[in-house]
Amino acid sequence: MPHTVLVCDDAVFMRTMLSDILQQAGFTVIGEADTGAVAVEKYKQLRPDLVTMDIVMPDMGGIDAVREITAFDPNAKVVMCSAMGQQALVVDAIQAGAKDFVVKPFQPSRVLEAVERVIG
Amino acid sequence: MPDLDLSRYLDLFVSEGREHAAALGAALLELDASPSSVDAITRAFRAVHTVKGMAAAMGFDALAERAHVMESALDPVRAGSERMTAPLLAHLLEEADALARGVEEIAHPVDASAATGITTSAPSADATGGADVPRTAGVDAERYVRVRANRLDALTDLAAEVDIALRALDRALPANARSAPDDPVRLALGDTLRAFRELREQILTTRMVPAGQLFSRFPRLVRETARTLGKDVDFVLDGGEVELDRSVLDQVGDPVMHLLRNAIDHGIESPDARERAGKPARGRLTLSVQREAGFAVVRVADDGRGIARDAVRARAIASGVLPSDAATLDDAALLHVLTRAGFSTADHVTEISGRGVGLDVVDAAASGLGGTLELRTVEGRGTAITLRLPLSVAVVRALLARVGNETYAIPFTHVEETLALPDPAEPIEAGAPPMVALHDRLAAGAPSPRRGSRGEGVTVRARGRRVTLVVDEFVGQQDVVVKRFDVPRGATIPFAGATVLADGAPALIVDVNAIV
Repeated sequence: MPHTVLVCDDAVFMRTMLSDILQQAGFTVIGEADTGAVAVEKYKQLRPDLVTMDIVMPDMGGIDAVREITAFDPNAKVVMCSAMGQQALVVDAIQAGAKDFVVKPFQPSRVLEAVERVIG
Repeated sequence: MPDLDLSRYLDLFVSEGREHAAALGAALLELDASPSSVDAITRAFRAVHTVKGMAAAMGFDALAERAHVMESALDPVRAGSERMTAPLLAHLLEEADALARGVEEIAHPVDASAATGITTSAPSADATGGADVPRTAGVDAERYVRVRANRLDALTDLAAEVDIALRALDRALPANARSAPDDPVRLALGDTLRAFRELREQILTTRMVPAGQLFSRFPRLVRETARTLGKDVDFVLDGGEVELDRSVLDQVGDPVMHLLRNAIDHGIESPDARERAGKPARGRLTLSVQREAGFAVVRVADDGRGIARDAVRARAIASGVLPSDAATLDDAALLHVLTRAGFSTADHVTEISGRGVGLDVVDAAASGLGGTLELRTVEGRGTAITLRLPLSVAVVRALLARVGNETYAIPFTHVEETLALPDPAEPIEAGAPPMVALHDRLAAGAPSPRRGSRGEGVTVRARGRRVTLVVDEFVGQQDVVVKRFDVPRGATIPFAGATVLADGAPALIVDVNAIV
């Protein structure tokens, strides 16, 4: 059975691109979220194998969302998607429970590498 | 896995990019009203950040970099370690416009590839904002190449030099060769000149971009400005396909923006006031570009309240600009008063026009491009301000006039007619423009070379005024390549630049705006 992914980013553009990369590699994108709050809610509802999480989002940011998701499910597997120049935030995200990160602009191979490593 | 086919995401990029650019503009305008709004700064930051990520993903590096720089400027304000200041906000608003323009240039790949970031005489900060060309934009992509702006500049400069050399060669042709119909040198030179003219035309054409690129930044600006001021405005764009030299376009953007802001702020009335005046509640604001006889005519027209002539006259008399017995001002006189630095009829400084922007700035920009400004206004009916500009700043068609030992170039933009001067004894025709010796205007204080002899005259028009300049003689007309020189800020000189004539002699280009 293919692994399921929840893609969280406030830009439709980014969600579409990430979903394409993941689906082409055989993953099933079972949900998308455009704010941190929606991400938390959908995680609880869909219980995906993996979450990709943008850092800067309206409503609730990605780091707070990771914190809430890992509080709900300590085994949650979250990969952060950060932009250039957010290294400090990536550290916060890892401390909040994220397992790995990729930096935008995405290289498909790098995304899949991180995702597969996290899923193990 | 294979690389992503980025072209599939282009439409999405454009539509979402537009959304974020608009959100950014709206958030910045909100910050203008309440500089400490945490919500507005957060939204501005997020919009910029999202555009950055998307642009980087698409490989639009220039746009991504621009967004990155903006983000870095916004970040400390968002974090609370710095405060939003008026200069920073003004800068951010400009950058936001450039960002929106960058997205539009990507939306219209034809425009984008034509706009290879040419920034010749005035490399404005935003000129490279949209230099991204969709690399995988499917249609037409292979028909365009990106060219370094400085290579195009080099071509233009070289063409100018070849031009000068060919003209010198033409002059050096012996008289017997010139008159012999089948002289091989004369024929070959004729062919060369024709081919060269074509070549130069082509080189200049590569620098032309559609005015629509200038327009793309304005709808949002108009909408937001109107909203902030509580005005209801229909914005009409016309002539976006007319092509202008990129450097003209870059320099005309800000003046047009000021004219639009002024029209919304001071021209178009509030919906209530319009209805009381028997007009539709929604005002109409038009920005148009036309080509007229080798010039680009950019016009901003509104159907607002018009300019109150009597108020301007009273204000001008009170401030000593006009004598106390000054008659009612016609359009030309009105423009003349309004373009004096710092002159304003606004009763109070509003949020929008309070940036110290007056018609004087617009006038200076038009002059700097070798163009002119015209004004038409009818009280209660509206105002139209017209910028008449050369299609290209690199080359200007000029009348060459000799005064004493000097040759001066007078740009044709300003020339109405040339005339043989009447006998000084004859009375001057009523209504004729005043006559002014060019020498007196250019070299104040220096002795006049010779007086009393009959010269020739050229009637020029600028700032709504007409003057006949008296010179010794006309020596021809020529396309001259304008080499601008740096003038210290605040200094005024009567020259717009210098050029080199066919015989290799330098000539000064008269800044007609400065001498009428």
